Amino acid sequence: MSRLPRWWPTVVFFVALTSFPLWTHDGYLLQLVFRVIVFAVLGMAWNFVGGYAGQLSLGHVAYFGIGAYAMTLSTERIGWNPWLGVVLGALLAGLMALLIGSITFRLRGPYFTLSTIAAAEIIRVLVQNQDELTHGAVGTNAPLLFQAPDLDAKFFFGAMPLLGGAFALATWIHTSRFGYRLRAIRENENTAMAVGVNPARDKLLALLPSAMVTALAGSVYASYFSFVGPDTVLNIEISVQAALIAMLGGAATVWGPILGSIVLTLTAEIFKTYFEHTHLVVYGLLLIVVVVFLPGGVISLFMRRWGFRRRAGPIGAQQ
Amino acid sequence: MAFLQAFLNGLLVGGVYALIASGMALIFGVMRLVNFAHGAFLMVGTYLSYYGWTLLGLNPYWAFPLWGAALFALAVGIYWLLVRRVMGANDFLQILLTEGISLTLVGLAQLVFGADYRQINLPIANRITGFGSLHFSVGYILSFAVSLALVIALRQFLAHTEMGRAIRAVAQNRTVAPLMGIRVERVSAITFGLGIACAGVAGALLLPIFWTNPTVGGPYTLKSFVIVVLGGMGSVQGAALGGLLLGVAEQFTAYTWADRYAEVVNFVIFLAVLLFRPQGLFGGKA
Amino acid sequence: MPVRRLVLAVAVVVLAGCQQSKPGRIGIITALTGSQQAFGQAHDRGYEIALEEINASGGVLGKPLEIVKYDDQSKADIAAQGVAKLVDQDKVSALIGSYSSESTKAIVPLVARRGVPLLMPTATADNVLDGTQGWSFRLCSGATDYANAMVAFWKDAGVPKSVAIIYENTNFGQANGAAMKKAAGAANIPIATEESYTAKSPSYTAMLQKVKEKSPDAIYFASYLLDATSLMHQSRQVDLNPRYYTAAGTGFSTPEFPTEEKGAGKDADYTFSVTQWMPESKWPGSAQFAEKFKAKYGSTPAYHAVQAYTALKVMVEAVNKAGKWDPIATRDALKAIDMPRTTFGPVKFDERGQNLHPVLVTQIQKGKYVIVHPKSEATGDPVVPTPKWSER
Repeated sequence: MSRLPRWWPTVVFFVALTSFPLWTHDGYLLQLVFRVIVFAVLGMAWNFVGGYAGQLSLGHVAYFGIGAYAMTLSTERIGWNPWLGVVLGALLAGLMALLIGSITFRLRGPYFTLSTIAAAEIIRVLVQNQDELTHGAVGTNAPLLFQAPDLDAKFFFGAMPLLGGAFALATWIHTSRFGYRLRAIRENENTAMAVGVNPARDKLLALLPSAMVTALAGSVYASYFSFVGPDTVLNIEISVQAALIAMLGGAATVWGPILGSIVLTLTAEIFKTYFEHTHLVVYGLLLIVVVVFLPGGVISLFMRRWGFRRRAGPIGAQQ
Repeated sequence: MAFLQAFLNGLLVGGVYALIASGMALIFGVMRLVNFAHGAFLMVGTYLSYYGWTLLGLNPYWAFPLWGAALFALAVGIYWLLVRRVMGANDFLQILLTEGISLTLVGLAQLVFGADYRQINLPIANRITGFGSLHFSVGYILSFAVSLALVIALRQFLAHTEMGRAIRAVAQNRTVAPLMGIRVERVSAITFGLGIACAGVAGALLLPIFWTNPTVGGPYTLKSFVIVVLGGMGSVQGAALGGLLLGVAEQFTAYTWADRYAEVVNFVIFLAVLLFRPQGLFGGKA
Repeated sequence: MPVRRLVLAVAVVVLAGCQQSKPGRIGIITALTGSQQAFGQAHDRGYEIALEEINASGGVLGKPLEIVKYDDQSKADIAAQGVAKLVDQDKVSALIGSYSSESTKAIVPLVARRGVPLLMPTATADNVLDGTQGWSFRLCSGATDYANAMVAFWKDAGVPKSVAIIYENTNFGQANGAAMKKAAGAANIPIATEESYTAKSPSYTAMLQKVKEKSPDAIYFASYLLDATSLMHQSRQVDLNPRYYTAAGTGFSTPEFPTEEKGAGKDADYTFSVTQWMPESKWPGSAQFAEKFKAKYGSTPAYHAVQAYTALKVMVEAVNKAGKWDPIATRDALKAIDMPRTTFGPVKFDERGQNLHPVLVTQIQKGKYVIVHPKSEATGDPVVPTPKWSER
């Protein structure tokens, strides 16, 4: 029996995915897969806080938007290179994460979730109404991170390191003591404290990379579609999508958000093409199905088939 | 004088908020269910009211019991099918399930009714009345009056009827209540039904002074949570007072600062209460 | 398997060969679903009527015209996705769209990148024409043109001593609010106050009360139909009596606005608005278009429908003039186009790609729209000053 290293499927996956632009020049297909990648990154970033630490944030779009706007406004108003703006966006998102986290992490359960929504909405309202600075509700064109020609391929190649980085980070969290502590916090915060975990510090430590990676995803997304506006990059729907992708695929797993993004993005696209007007219903029904039938996410289907040891449901101890 | 006008307008709007929040007080406060679909049911109420008026000529100001009953039935159905599975489960699941229900309802509304805005023009709602230099829209006064009457009726129901007592008993201790002969599942379904009916009727009353489209409910879900937290968990009178207070706060913000920031007031109040007085203004313990 | 593959390959090659003689297509992006669905539907209907008429009179380059639609769901990033689908997958040679300024702005750089001409029927934000690189053209007037038209009207009818600008805080409102601020400044009309509101507010009375305290001589609204209705009802409630109630079109210029069931009814009387087109306008085919629309869809068209209708006709004219389905030739034909007598008035684009479309100013008198400016297009005289609420 051949003893291939355990990580060979991962390598095959990444190699195949990275080479995708070499097989096709169809801009539409490239764009579709690009979106799957960006949303997988978004889901993975959310997962650090939502899946592993069990803190259901529905305000992640704040960081997404900060990334997009920082890149756009710094290029436009200060004349920076957009890549610098991307870095700035990630840093600002990190700072904002510290601010928002210090306020919201004091709250538990649904109060935490509601407070993340409140925080993201405050940011959206401010951006929408400070039109002198941000172009307000009209929005503006985002700068290009790459030069034509072959923009689709270049953006694709640019998104792959982001996916790879998020994947590496997720793998590290999954297998490290830090991830172990996060899971302890998720199971029961009080008990975790009793055994010496510092939830306040660890939750913030999880939110920092989560926010920064989300901001990077936001910048790349905005640049690809050449547009920032409160409705596109500060829309609460993106927060819901981030959570949904991770939960649908399998929270607190490394591959979950990737699976989730594939399923969700492709399903939505199919429905958009063949059955107009239905994508919200699709999202809603998917959520219901996940909660009622598949609380472990799509990945739990695979885990059962391949005989993986069942761990406690990713969503929490009570099932 | 302008401040008095803003204050009174705020109270009028707050009346409807009070009704919506009372429903949430029942569901979140009493049943401990995190219900992200509250606004979606309000939206259903507005559409029932809309078609009731445009197709059947039923004035929402007296047809609202019909819509309340319809939403009660819908809610009980959804409870049996879906919601009871997450009762007592962690709030992650509750949020996801109710969010899923909300998205499905909104999506269906978009499919069936289209996403465009609708409004009705009730001649009586547009009349202006007032005294001195204070003017009020009759529609607001009617919506306020009916909402408040219903909130008071709800409170009386909870305090003085057997079912009301059963609801409160289940709220106090879900595990012990069956020992008192209370059928917890049945009571829970009724509580949920009542809470949703409040949201739906509030929607029906909101329609003559506002407008509707499938996404109209979104801000009201958040608002209900804000008010319930502001007023103190589980207390219907707390929610009522919280609703009035929020209405006034919004109008004051619109008057002194800018209308477009009035919605921020919701969020700021929410965070402030949670951080500095988590038991709410009228709640007992934290 | 290998034999099937071979047959498929041959089929593909043959079909590809056939592609050369297939007629080209025009792609259309608009908001068929989502919050702007009502306007996207108006577009859709205008496109359908134009399509019928075009194909009834011989189509394009002798063949029937085919259009491919894409729904942007009222979202800018989806509109951007639509460009890829229509140009890369469906191989359209020209694009028309979208509805909102946001969605339109999102697709402008993308069509430039792909080298496909775009005709914008409805977007009014001023920054929509930035960065077109010569590939995009706008049929309708922009926010600045609106404001300038209203100021020109005031110069004829009596310049107000001050103006209060009240606008909804979405892209339409902000763009037009900013445009009036600039135009009023250039004409030395002091701005009494600027108020921005959100359409989700249950009551504007606090804001209107504030405005009343500044005693503006004129008010300039930028609102959709719903808020326009509420604003007029509540202006009456607050007893706000400026000399002029004016508006930047949209809500204040829809056919429903003066009606009792769907608009402000009597409270809409005496309001002035800019508009891009009216069924009563003197441009050829206006009345006929309105009749056809009413017969087919049961309601009077607002200007969005005729903008879509005209846009498709203009694009077809450009392709016909170019003589072939080639994006570059079509773009050049658009640059040179000169159609003085369309249903939407004269069509001719300047160096920025902007059509010099005359903006009309209307006033609602006894529930009907009367065109009051410019004098060459007017169908009646304005009633100024606006009677106080208590005297109506």
